[in-house]
Amino acid sequence: MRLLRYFAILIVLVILLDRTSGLVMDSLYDKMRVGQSGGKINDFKTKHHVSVVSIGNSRSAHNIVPQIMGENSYNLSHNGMSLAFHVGVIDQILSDSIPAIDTILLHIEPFESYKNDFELERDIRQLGHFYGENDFITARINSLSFFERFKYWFSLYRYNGKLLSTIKNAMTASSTSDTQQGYVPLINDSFHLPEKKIGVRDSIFSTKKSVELCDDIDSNIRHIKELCDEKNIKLICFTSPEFYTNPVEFKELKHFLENENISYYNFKAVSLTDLGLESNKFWRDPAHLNHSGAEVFTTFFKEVLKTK
Amino acid sequence: MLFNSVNFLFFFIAVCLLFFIVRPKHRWIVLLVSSYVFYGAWKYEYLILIAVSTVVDFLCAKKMDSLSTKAERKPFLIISLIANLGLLCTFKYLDFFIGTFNEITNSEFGFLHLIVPVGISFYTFQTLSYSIDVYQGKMKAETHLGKFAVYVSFFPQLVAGPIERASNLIPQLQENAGRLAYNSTVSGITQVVVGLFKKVVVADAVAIYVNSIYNNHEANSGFTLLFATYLFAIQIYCDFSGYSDIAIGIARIMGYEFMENFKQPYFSLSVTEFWRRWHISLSSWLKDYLYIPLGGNKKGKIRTYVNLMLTMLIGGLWHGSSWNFVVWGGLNGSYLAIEKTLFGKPNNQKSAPKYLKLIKIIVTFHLICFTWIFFRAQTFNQASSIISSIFESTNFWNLRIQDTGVFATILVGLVTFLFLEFTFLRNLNYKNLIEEHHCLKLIILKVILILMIVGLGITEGSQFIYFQF
Repeated sequence: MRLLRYFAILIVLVILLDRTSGLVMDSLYDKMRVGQSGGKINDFKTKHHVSVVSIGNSRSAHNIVPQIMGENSYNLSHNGMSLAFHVGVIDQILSDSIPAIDTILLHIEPFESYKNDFELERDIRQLGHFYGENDFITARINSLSFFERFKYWFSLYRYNGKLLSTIKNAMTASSTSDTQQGYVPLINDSFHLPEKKIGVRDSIFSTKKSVELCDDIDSNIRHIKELCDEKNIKLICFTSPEFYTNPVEFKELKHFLENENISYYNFKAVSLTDLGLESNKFWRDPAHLNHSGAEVFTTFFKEVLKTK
Repeated sequence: MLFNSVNFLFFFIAVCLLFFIVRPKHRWIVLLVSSYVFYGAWKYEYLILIAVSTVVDFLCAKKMDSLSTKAERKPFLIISLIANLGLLCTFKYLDFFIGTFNEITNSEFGFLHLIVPVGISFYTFQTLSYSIDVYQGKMKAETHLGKFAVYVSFFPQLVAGPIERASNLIPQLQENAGRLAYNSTVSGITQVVVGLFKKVVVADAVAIYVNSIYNNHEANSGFTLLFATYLFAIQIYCDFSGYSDIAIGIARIMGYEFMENFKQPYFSLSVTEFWRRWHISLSSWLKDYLYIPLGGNKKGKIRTYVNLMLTMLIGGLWHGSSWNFVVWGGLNGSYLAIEKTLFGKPNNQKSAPKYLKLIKIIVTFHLICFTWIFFRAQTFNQASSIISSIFESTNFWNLRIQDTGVFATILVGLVTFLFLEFTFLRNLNYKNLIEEHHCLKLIILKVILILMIVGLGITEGSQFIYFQF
């Protein structure tokens, strides 16, 4: 009896405090306007009309300047996230009618598209805030493992991994506002070129004779395409250039996207001289452009889009 | 199945329900089946190794028990040693020996690339202690194969200890212990929650930072590497003591009492004291079954130092089949030998002034941190490079934060942990928890820790460091 009372008090207190802190976190989350914990998504949702929204990882976040891409453009990219996460973001922003979107520029990282050993689908958990609200995100999180759903019995778990950044970003919400339309410029500092001539992840293309696309790319891209078709939004995929890599064609990926009637611009297949990015003064590191480089690249990309 | 996973939580609840529902005399069946399921969930093929070890030791011990002299018992002890150490050497050390042999003789013998069975070092040492105890006549052989099998494979301590002595656990199994008692349940749950907090909030968050720094050590400054080494000291302590806390806690909930494995080792005043407070079940095993049989300190000074060094070198090798661990053991052996030479028997250090104690604690912590560099580094060369970077004066003062979100989580976790360790855990005896602390205070502590685990914990279910040993 004493033990039952003990368990009852413990469980009731945990539930009470969990629900209370969940509510507090929800209100803090809504206040955020900057940062990767959800602030960017919140800020994006305050817009009424967005002509071009670019979505992808850091190679989209730092490389696409929305102010150059066009009026009312926005960069909704999140560093370090994979396609699994970006699909969730697109599903979430398209679940509301506002903002109206004309074009989505989706950055594709080729290494993710081919069979690999990375557990990239787990990135969807970073959108845990929408668990229970967004059916697609909920289903994707549940599909990670049978036991995943039980963790969400705790409302605080939706903020797992971003609890402190949510608090920080909400606290500084009043003093900061996003004037860059989601773009995160990298300062033009000098860097030393590492000796490594090829990206580690890209080495799968040089070591394997044939490569296969992974299963996730099918379901993810088709889901985005369906959503875009439904809302009459133009979907364009692209891959950012890299400093060292020799021009690489991702034939299987290109073929797949063509079959889905999606335009794909692979800037890894274009020489850096043609892009105007052959000098290291445009690069922060071999994978990311600095602000000057991003301006050059975005201008080039915009011209390409205009002509096609 | 990891302790820090939701599937284990469901598994444990199911085992507990079954355990308390069945009659006490049949509970060993629940424990045996659940322990084999627990281990089999990782790799069921390797259950055969546990079964072989169990049957060989059971039969050898039974035979030894029926014989009156040590000389008669000796062959059966040797059979037990060969069987257990043979399995351990084959699976854990054979490739290491082949590699070393190839290097020395410039030959090219092929590696076996066997997967090291999780926890093999732990259950091998546990069963060895049983055989040796029976051989020495310190205890009677267990006559019930099922209960002995539970002793070898009991799931809370199967894969990472504590290395329980047969004289402690087997009598508890014979008594069919395991009443759902208020005190032991509350105390057990508290220890499990504290252990989980140490693991998922502190150790796993710190691991993200330490891994990123150590894996790119060439690109980091001396101060960053030093900071990462301090953090690794915290990581390995929270990881391993967290595991031990969970193991001890879940056993206590079922009514079984394990030995304590850690006693705030970083508050030690000397390395000798550190080894009395760190991984106690292993250090006491090495003392009882290696150091003392080698002669301990009874055969002169030189022999004492040799015994100390040999014990620590084997202790190092026990942790892993790499020269890094041998160096790590050698360094600790040297510390112990030097302390013995300089200070002899440790004096009553409790009477020392506070400032002196603090200096001793800081010096001991740094000596231990130095050894952790060899423990954490992948190779000897990597360890050497890290040490030279730490002692390099140019470009020293530069701290790399990496991910600010992770760093903030580390800071919050660390501050909470240190506060908890210093104010609450330092003088805590979990067994007397209820007598010493108000029930509501314990509930509030648990609620706070549970919410921190939910909000800040790394929930990917990362493996415990000591699973590899």
